Amino acid sequence: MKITYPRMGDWTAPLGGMLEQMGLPVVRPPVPSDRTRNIGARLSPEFICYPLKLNLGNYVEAYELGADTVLMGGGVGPCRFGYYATLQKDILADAGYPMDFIVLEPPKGHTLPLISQLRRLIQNVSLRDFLRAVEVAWVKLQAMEDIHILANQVRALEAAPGQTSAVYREQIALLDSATTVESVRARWSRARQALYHIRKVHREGVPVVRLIGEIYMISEPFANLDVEERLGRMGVCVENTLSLVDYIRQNLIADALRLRRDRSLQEEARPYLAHFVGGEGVESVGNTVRAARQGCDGVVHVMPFTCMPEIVAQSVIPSVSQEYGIPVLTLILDEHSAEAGVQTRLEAFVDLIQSRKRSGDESCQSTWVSM
Amino acid sequence: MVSVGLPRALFHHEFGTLFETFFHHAGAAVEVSPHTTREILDLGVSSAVDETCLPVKIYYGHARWLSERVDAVFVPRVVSICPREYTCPKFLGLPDMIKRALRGRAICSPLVDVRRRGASLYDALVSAAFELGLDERTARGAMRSAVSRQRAMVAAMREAPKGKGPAVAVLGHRYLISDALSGMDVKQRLQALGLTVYDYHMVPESALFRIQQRVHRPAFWTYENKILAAAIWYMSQRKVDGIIQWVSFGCGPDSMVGEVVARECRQREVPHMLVTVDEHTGTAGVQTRLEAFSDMVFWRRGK
Repeated sequence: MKITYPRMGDWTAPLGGMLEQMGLPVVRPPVPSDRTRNIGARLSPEFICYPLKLNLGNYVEAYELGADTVLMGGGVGPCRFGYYATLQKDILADAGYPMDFIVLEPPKGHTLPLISQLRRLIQNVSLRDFLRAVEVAWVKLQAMEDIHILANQVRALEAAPGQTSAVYREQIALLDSATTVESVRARWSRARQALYHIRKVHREGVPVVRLIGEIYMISEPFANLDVEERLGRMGVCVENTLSLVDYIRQNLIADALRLRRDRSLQEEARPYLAHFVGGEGVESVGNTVRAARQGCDGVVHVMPFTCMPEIVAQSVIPSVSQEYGIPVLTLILDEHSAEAGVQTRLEAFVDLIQSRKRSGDESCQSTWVSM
Repeated sequence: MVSVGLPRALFHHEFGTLFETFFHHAGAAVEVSPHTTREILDLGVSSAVDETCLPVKIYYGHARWLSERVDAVFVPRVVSICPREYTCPKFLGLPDMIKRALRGRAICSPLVDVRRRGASLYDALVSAAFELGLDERTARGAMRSAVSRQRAMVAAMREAPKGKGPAVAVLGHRYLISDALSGMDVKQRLQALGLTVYDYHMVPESALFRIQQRVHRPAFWTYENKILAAAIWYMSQRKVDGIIQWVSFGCGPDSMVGEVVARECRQREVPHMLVTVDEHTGTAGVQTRLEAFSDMVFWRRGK
């Protein structure tokens, strides 16, 4: 058994590290490239959402590197993600890449199936090793998220373009290779130091833009065409609403322990979208409201083409945009999207935000742009 | 008398008789929007975001058309009509989407979710009647005649077609195929070519259920489950010589289950054609494809 898993930017690196530390044979999914995208698009149904295509490309690449088992999450609808594993398994087998799937379903109060799937994975791992690896991965994930947030803030002010990203890459790699909680914590504080020491220019009124949308699209820079970095280089501080730490707390821990979840995002979304629609639909609406309330200058909404929950969100977000006077840019992406187009739209959007900031006229008509 | 508008789109193609009879007997003035016209479609296309699928755009159009003419438009939130399954994420958010498009005009949107207690179709209609200010006892009484009319409608839908020619199954959402515009009279067109036409309603429920149990992992969308099970049933019973899938551009669930159906057809060597429609589709192109498909079916029969 050689395990691979779907990649979500840097956020899944702790998972890879955790499996390696348990002594399981792991093939880390390669960083997506044009080849990944082409393989995925060729094998997938035409109108399936982009994450499935990129995942599929990644699985084929991992297969070529010797992987034979995919470890991934599952779901029970109505978002298409819950059916990913079933379809991907069939597609891979037909295309000559037979792979086994270990699917971890969200507990929803039933922890037994989850435990039986986990047992399949870690049958030869001692409980002590398992718990230690989980602890290291958990701290590592928190560290990576923290560094990611900081890097987005620093990038908006960097004196030498590209320096933040270089330092960030370096520090993430260091964190990734740490194997004890102590070394993760040490590297975490060193990474913060390294980012603080980047030479910055003084700028007044740095615009703050919040990144919302479908979870895979906002986590994988290849999928969103480096939207965070692009905005950062334009001098915008990006706040990514993705937090796997929160996600795990809410969906795995709170659910398994049957604790009450944090419903505040749902409450914020309620006047505009009163029912859950699967995926991150309601969260996207709630995050737009929250961004407006907290004084952000704009919202960039990223979704894959044909994503059902996000289409519902996209349909009601203009109401939020008008009522709160916050500009929202919706980017709908798939394998056909090109950098130049996205760059132009982002520049236009940032121009709009900056002119609003300069004129100080918050009452001017908000603009909801869909492109 | 309070007037209620029923958009002739989406669920109306399935539960229309029930809705109409119910509100009529409950004492409301019922207005059903006309069959989809270009004008209604344009209303819908101009109010929905580009990404929505054709059936939802058509729904927007009907809702807008009605909103000028009635006190309240009936837009139920149909989350689930089968245990453990969903309809489609877009239907889950439909009232919110329509509410925005109607700019403050009244909609009546009870929850239909058989996964919960007290949110069956029956409960939803009674609570809608209550919301509209209709008498609750009359409403409960109205349910009986509504249900019997609906039963008769479903029985008619189930009737197997008569005909001697080669048979094809046209599989797709009822709301897409029965619509005057997005359905393009596909069944009549195929019949005119000498084919016998089946759809998924003509498969016995018990057979659908049995097949769904066997499929490696049923999807969690009610309609797609039925479409997939119907495809398998028609092929395993050797009832049809070909399968045509009628899907709307960008349909999420169909993009997955359609792929599974296509795979099943390939394995069993049954001809399969996927027709994708959106608001730009012309009938000429579709007619040509249907003719080509029918030619092939006849040719394979004669071989």
